[in-house]
Amino acid sequence: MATHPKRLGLKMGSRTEFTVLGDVIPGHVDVLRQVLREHIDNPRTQEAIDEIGTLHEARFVLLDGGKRLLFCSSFDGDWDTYIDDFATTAIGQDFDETWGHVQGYPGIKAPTVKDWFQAHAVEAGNFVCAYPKPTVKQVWRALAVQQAFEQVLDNPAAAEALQHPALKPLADLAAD
Amino acid sequence: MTDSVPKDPATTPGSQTADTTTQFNKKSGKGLRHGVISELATFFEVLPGHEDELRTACARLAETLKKGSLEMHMKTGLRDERHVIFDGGKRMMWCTTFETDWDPYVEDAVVIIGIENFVDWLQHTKEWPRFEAWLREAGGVEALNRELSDPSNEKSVRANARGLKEFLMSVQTPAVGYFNAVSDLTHPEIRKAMQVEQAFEKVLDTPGADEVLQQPALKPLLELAAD
Repeated sequence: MATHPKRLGLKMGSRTEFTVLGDVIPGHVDVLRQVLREHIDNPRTQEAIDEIGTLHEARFVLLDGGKRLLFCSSFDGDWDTYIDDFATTAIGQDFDETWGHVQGYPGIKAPTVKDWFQAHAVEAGNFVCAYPKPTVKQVWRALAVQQAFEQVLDNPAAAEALQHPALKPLADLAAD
Repeated sequence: MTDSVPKDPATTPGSQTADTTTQFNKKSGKGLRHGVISELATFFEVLPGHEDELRTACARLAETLKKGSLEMHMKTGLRDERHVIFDGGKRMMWCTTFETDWDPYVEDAVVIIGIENFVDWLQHTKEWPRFEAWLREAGGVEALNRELSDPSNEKSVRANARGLKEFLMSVQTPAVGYFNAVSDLTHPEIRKAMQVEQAFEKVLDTPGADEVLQQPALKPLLELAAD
């Protein structure tokens, strides 16, 4: 397994925060705003985020009258994998279309892209999550199990099966 | 999402861009929202020479929040927060996400978290005089806390938080894009789903469960058992 240098970003539970700032190329702010709007509405972006399955949340903020772009997110796992995942999905294209309006951005497939992001990253002074333990995928899995269990509960034919001692942990929750 | 029919941002689902929500709304204030979650990003200038004290004070707030009970977090609606000091220690961003409405979210900072936890770090910013003016008008830290010692006073304390909301909006820069992977679920809903999943894992670890799950009525669970 490849080893990576220490990356900026505080960790809490499964999550790591990432904050990065860049200077918007003069005259590009309106196009950048439009690009961000298109991405957030684009089902392709949502599908790619689902495919990656490690991004908890992300926001873009335009600062100083649109002269600077701030991105902050939190994600599961390793930072290098996080960036690699972006590069291999539709998010890579989104990133290029976004950060391409920021001075010096080398492109998501450039060998120097990780160095560029790290050079523009600022580690948070502190980072707090209300439910830090589960990963995105664990929450999605829990939701799928809950939905399956609700389907079972809605089926009258399941009532007898749920009486089996092996299913007691679930039956106890159904009684709540 | 961007059709010609005007929508109430507070009831329109989906991730959003600033173009649709820079106007104040009940759910997220001036910030964007995605599903049930709203974002608040605020920016401050650090008082010269106060960077270290600011960092220490922000860490104290973080520790207070980390020590908070699950119930406290579910009541306040806080999903996450961070302080980031940038520009060589001259500026700071405090950003949070939350799932309650804007009004109770800010009011609970006073009623549940305690305004002293915000005084602690805000006094090291150039925006402090405006915050202090509101605080003075509201009676000061001791008066607010003394008033809260009698629950019947909570209503007036919440009303006093109006100036705090105005202050926060004055230092806020709404995001131009916001996304959350678990945007449809509140914290209590996530907790409930995790409890069901943990119970299911216990079932899977129980001898004989494999055979029981073969019953047709349990098919939805059996399909997940293989994952």
